[in-house]
Amino acid sequence: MTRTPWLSLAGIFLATFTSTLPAANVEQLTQTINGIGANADGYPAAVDAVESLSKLPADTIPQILEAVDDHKPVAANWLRGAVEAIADHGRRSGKPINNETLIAFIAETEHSAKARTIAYSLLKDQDEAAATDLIPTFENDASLELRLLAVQKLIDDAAAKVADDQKEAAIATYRQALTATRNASQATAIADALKKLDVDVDTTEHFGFLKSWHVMAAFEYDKGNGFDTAYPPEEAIDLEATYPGKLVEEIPGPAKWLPLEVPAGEKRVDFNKAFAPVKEVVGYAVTTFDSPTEQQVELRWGSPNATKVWLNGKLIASNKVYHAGDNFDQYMAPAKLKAGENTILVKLVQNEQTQSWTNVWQFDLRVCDSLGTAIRDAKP
Amino acid sequence: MRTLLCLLCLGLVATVARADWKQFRGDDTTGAVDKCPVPDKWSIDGENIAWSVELPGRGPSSPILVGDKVILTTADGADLQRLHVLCYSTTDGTLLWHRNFWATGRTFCHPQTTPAAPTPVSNGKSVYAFFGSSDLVCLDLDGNLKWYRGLGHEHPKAGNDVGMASSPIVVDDTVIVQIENQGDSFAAGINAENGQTRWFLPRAERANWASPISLSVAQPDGQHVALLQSGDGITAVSAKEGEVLWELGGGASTISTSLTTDNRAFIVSNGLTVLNIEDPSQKPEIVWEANKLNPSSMSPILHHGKVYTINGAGVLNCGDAATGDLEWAVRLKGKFWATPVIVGDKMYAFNFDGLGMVIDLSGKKAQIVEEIDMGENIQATPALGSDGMYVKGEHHLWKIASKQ
Repeated sequence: MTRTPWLSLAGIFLATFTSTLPAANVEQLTQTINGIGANADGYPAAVDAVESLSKLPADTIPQILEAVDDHKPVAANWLRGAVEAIADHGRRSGKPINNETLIAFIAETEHSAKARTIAYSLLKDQDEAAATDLIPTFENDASLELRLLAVQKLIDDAAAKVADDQKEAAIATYRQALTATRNASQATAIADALKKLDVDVDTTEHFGFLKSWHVMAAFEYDKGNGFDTAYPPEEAIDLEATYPGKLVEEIPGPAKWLPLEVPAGEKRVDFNKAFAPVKEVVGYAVTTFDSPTEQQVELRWGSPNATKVWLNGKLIASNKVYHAGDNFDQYMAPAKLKAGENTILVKLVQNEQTQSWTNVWQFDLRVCDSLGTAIRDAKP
Repeated sequence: MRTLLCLLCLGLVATVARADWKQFRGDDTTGAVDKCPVPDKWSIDGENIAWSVELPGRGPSSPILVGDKVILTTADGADLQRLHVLCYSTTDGTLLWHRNFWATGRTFCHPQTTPAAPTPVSNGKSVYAFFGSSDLVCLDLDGNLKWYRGLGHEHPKAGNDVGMASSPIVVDDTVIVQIENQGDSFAAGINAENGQTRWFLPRAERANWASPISLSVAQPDGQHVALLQSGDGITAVSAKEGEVLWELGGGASTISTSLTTDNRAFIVSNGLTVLNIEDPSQKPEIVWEANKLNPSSMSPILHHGKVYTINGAGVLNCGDAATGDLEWAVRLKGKFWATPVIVGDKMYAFNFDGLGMVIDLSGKKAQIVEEIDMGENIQATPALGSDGMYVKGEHHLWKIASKQ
């Protein structure tokens, strides 16, 4: 009669002691790490903090994971390093983090995508079968790393159906995979597989690349200064206007807007095709994008040329980089669409390089959400 | 007292016996050692393979050896954004620890490469793993994170068209990186203890894959000098402060990395240019230049007074290190990204297709004495330890060693 309450009290005390003391520590230490800034601000304190964190017991892992912030990718790597060290120590000392705890953490989609990815990785290290069982649940996951696994499983399943002569079922599974994926390589693989099943898929439509533009060239490159020279399209968009541009034999003046439709299956707005393959020139492309409501989006684009991008007259990005690749979602910038018509203006600058691989003057651009899901132009 | 002496002696023996290979081409950057129990013949089916492991991810970076640990990097995942640092036991290939990180900078690259192209470096206490995404990780030798620097996050335009590859060095408690490209282009010295920037030097906005080197000869005050190599030539900086001490124009390779030993620096410029380094703070005199010793993608190797390079046609050239005179040329097979290594009078060269060649250097002219198909592409320079040669392929790490 008297022992039970004491035992209970002791249990409560012990539970309180073991959970709150590390919790306080964890909060303080993770705050220090999340406080690091650009140019290594706060690093000496963070070095001490990560050393202390890495010595904590495995049952503190969920608390550390809860501090992972997807918007602080460098700090997230510090915390991942600490968590993986703790997990290693826990396993070696016979006190690993509980698999059920990890599964519960992964299932809670309120947690950050990066934190859930770490939890999944730890689970896979400890129980690969349990981790594999979770994969189908990631088909529409906010963690693109986890979603990648689910899509790959769908691709594998579809391939198995093809091998089993279940063509229609395979097509349906491939389509399911395509709907889920936000990854360009996976989308291409799916489109290639569907093509072999006589189904044509336009991945440029899947990713929502903008296809209807007006383009204008050419203005002076001026030894590179043209990148920062505000030519008339930067002042106002008038599709009927003409301007005295750069005297280029291949591009007779005056400079005027020309309509350009990117063909089906293609994504690039190619100024070499629209005008001529010339060097040391500045061009512009403009389009409109209707949104039913005000909404936060990302503009994503790729180009081997230097670019500036404006949304509704506001400069949202400037990348004075020449011929350092032309990649899917090479550049990203957050932007807010207004309800109704929005104007997107791109400045595309070709430099003086003469190597054959620099004979490209092009870009592609799409509007999407933070996961890369295409947002469609609401134009009727 | 006797016990203490014995322990000290044992410690000394252990220290002497341990042959580290803590950076690209080894501690002295020559890519050569006198002794290492590498057999003349092996087979990936098992003959003279002490152990092998399958790697998660891939990347051209070379393995390094610190004590009884072999440490390497790879990358995989969506858009190659998952970065791996792996540590295996040299004894039996057991995975001792494995750390994962997310790239915070650009990961776009040619299909043949990944962000795990730069070779990690160690000062014997920590390992500094650098990636083509300009992420720099410092871990202790037990895999505990000390600090993480997202230089690509801080400089998001850093990146070139085929992927970055320059390997870091650590000297005077400073990790030196060259992040030279068409966008955010710079070199930096990072405090090895806490990850903070000691110095930052803007560089020409042109792609460069060559790695910095540290001169063997120190300045009178004991401070070391690092050479930054680029298409413009050589820039000598004080390792700790980043002060530009001298520059040597005339251009230099943007891929193949120079080497230095004693008071000589073998610069990959105009073929090969050798500098006489008396006082590293002063612009040195050119000792010789040899166009015929121009290396293509691999980096030069130095051993027993001879310098070796492989040109773009796959021809192995041997020059007199004192004069630059070409002594012989032998055509190898295939294209080389990996720099060969030398043990005694044998060279071990692995071409991109994964063909390993054992080359006898003892005669008047080199001779290929064995060819071994490793079964997968190889871009990494092997590491030579006291107990064997460690070869990293696209998917595997092998320890190749004679039966002891």
